Amino acid sequence: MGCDMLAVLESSVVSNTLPCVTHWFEEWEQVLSRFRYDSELTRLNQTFEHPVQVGEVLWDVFQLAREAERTTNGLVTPTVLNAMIKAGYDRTFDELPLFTTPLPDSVETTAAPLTAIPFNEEERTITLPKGIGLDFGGVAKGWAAHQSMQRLQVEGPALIDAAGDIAISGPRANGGPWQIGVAEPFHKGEEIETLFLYKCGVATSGKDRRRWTRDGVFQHHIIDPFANQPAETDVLTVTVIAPDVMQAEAGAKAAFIQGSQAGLEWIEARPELAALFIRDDGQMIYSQKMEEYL
Amino acid sequence: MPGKPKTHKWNDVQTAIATVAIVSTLGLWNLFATPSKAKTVQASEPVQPPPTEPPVEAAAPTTIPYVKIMFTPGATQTTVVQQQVVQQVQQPTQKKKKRNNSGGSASVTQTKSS
Repeated sequence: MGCDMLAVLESSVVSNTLPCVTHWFEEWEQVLSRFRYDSELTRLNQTFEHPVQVGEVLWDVFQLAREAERTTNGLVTPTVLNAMIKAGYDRTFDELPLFTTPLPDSVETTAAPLTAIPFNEEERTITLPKGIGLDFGGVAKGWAAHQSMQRLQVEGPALIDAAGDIAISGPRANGGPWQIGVAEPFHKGEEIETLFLYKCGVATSGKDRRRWTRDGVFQHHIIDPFANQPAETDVLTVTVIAPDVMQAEAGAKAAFIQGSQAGLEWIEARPELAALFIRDDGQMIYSQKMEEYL
Repeated sequence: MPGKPKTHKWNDVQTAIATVAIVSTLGLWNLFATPSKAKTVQASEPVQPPPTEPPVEAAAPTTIPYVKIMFTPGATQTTVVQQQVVQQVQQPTQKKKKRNNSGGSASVTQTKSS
């Protein structure tokens, strides 16, 4: 997943489970990474028009992605792989140069929805139509954080931070909230806000980090599937709090793509979500529910 | 002496074939070497270093055990650090009602775009 992870477990006894978090993430990455030539996802992405039987992890994430696509009205979908590669995100971000060369214009103008991909629940097979590739990206990261948190929470209050996507099991051992900083996008390492959170998930989407220039045009990694190119938005970052980290991840991406005005309306229409937008001009916009977490 | 001119002709043919082969090799070499050179030039263009992300530090109070996992494309580069100490029972933290909190030193971790 190419990112730092943090696992916190509050327990007065030595945990044998805690060190396993590393192995869990390694196993999941081996299944879900599009950057590993031998991952299960890569194998699926290389097979068109034929049913591919997939393991439980890939199947779960595929179904979660379908749910995310449904709840975000198609704004969050893993079928934007080709558009992401066209934008220049064709290798891990650490290996990506700031300036990349143009590629031939061969990507569809809109991404196909996941509903266009046939699957068989009984045989657990997925059949990719020709020309469609999957990149689960943040959905997989949120899923992994949630899974780890669920496994750890039997031993005590737990928090998993998968590069900013955070799953929280509940109150801390002392009954208090977890204090989570919102990164200041204009000054690396600083915090622009502090959140006080109990059982929930929190995630941030933005164009402040993974960005580069292709053929002289600014690019970032969040693709608007209806334009099939990096989303044009006035939002620099948006942080969303939701009942779980998977919903937070999908919500943040959907709000980011829509922009501050439509994104805020979209958030306000969903009482389970709270959001903090930071716009390109530095203006901060809080949804009404966000007040509960400050 | 019919044999000698024959050998001479054969030598000429061999020389001609060798010449054509060398010229073809050089031509193809040039053809395929050019794009690589272009790539090298592009790669060596001065670029700004990507913004480096400060490593995520376990800013949690030292009274809780934690594991820090560094994910990289290579599985073998995963690093794990664990600390295990006795947990202290504390009173619930009072919420601080303020905005634009730039201190943040007490935060367990940060949410940020990735």
